[in-house]
Amino acid sequence: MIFWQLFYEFFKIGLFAFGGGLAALPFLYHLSIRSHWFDYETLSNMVAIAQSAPGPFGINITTFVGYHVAGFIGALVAILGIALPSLIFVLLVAKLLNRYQDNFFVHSAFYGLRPAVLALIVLAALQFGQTALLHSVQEPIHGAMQIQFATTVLDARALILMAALLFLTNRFPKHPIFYIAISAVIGIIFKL
Amino acid sequence: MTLLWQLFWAFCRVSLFTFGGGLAILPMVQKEAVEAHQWATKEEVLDYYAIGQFLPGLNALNTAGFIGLKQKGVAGAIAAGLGIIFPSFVIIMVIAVAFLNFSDIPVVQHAIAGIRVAVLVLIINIVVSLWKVSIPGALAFLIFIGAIIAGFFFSLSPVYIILIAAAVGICFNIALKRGRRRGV
Repeated sequence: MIFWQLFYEFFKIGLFAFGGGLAALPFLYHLSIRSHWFDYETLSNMVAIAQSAPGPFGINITTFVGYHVAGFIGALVAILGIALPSLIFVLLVAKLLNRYQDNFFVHSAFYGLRPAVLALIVLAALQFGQTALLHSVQEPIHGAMQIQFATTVLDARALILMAALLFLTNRFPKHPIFYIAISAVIGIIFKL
Repeated sequence: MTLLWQLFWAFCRVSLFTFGGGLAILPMVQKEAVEAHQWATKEEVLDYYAIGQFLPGLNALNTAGFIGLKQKGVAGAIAAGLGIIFPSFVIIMVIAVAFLNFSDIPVVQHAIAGIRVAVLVLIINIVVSLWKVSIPGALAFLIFIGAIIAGFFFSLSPVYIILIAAAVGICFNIALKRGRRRGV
């Protein structure tokens, strides 16, 4: 039965994809080859939409694939499948953490781990910054030279927006929603 | 409003204003869970993010789950998780039914380009605000630099970076304990 299969596939992804939505991608591409539920191109299209729609990427792509394969119920089943392992592991780990919170080793491990995690956030932000600050969407691109050019040029307007936002968010701390919404509008007005 | 509803709505807002995957969720979690509701401290959110790297499943769900669980047990974890899922689910449904060319619409592309810059800035601000709590001393700073080098120049997997850093932390504290004992 399709719902059961869908649940099983997404439960597996929830169980084996470590570190979030993007880690699920290879599983989904593999699934497109094995299952004939969708082809490579359809999946790429769904990925593009899941990345630009509001909501965490992993939830978006799961909903989308589930819906594509088996409609509304399919989307629900896929979400349930991917969320269940998360819930189980969170419960287990939280229990362990509670018990060993004041343990010397756990304490010391977190002492070393926090600066490393901050470094990981900086690294991820660097990658994120590349897509945010480099020219990506251009006029229709012809030829490899122009592609090369388009992907290596800093977008001056994005840089200016970044500088302005850095100043404003620190000078006038408001809810992130405020600055996200304003930036969307600025992006539309200046065709970023 | 009961705590369960609060959890659900807070994470609905988080979901609605998260664009992309992974750490894009952090600014909204910091705002809603740390500042607006004091459900967790800055350090705890950082710890959840670290643990999330080791756990299977979607990071967003894991983080929401940890915070919900701490407030209201299993029901809290489910309420927070449903909050993350709900807006995302509804929006994708609408797009799937009505706008299959959603990501090709110029207005959407421009808006997303602007939003990406905003999210980048919000993440930079988070790094600055986490600096003091996560880097209390010289050794922590060395671990930070080491992790940057390992990740940037050697593309070492986050899982190894975290494991090594945790081991360094343990060794350091053992050495510190011994040193203190000898000193007394």
